[in-house]
Amino acid sequence: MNTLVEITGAEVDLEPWFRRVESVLTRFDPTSPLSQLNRAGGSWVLVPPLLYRAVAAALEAARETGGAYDPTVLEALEAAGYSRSFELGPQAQGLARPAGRWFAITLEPRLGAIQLPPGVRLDLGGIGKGLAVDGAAWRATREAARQGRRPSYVINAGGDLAVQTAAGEPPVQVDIDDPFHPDRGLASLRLRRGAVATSSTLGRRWGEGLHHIIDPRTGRPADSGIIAATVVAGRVSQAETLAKACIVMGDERGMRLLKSKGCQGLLVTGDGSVLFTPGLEDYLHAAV
Amino acid sequence: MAKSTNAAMAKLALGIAGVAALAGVTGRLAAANPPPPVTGGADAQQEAQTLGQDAAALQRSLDQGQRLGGAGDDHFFFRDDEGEGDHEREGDHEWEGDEEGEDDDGQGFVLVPPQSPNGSPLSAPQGGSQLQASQAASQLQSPQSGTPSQPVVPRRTRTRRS
Repeated sequence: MNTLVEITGAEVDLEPWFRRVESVLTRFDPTSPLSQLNRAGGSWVLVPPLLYRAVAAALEAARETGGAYDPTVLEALEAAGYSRSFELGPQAQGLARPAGRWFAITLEPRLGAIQLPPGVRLDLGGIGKGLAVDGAAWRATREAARQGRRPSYVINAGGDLAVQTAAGEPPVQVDIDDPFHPDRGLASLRLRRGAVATSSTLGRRWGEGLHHIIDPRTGRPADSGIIAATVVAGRVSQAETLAKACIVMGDERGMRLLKSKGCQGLLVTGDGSVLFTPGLEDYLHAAV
Repeated sequence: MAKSTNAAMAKLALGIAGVAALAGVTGRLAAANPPPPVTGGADAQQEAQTLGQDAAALQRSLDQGQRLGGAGDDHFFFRDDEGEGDHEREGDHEWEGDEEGEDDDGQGFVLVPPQSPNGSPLSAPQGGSQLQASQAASQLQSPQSGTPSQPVVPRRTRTRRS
């Protein structure tokens, strides 16, 4: 996952869960179930239940965002130079390859089988992290219930996080980093429970205009004017995919998307403007 | 009645044939494209069910007295009206976000306003609010200090670009 996962308050060992999800959903291990599925375009493939559920969730997210979030961008991502784990550095670029064929993926729930169209390969990196945190939060909640207590935890996977506090506890302050100056805070929120995720074009970047958030329409790194998006939602996977979709859609459509989903968000433009949903106004404060 | 039964049987037969045909396709293709091992069985299915699950929804179900699934949970109730084994504790009535006017609007999250008597210094034009990133830290209000002692989890975390 190449991500630092910080877990506090969960009285259950969640490391095996994160390792298991990574082993199934990584595209950087050629033996992973996802990699095997990606090599089998045009064929039906029986997949592990974890992969089946992740693909189903990704397709649902694509539908929810009108295709602005698209799990089929892997060809485009690799063509842009992001073909191996980020710390190993970019590779040579190829021709831009528009995506948008997520609707042609077929699922067979009775058998747990998936058929990708020929030439379509999936990247589940971002949503996979969100789904893993959601699952970890669910497990922490279940364990707390088994112990007869209220759940109270923070599970943070590289900035995509789930928060739950118990009655009487103070809320958790979530500091939103300034995308231009990661050592500085841009603003803070106080959250009693919920999920927050941030995506940015400035994070995984390997050249001018080259980053990991692909516009499915062009097959090129998104250039909507939004360089970072932070979304507050009920689930981390939803926050993560909405944040990516906002960066692809731009400010107006992104704001409308957040409103239609009942979520809150903060968008940062390339010129340094900060836009946020009206519902967030009373909840933002200075990061101190 | 007989017609509808026959129709239902025909549909069932078609369904079985469809699955069989698909299984055949899968089996044939498996030779050329060996599928990943299916870590099948109930455990794998149960494991997969937790991926992307809504923890808040689970808690709401528990609050409504729903049993936990799985072995060993057969006798578990979060709230037991009969008293014996009652897990409800003092303060539980505050659980569903009834502090400080907060409300999750059914979206599964609860934001809490800053503890400031002055309210937000910002006005929200229709469609959202805007300020400069460089000014955000100074224009947005600061929270008052002071949090209850002995927190269960750290009361602060970060979300950052990824």
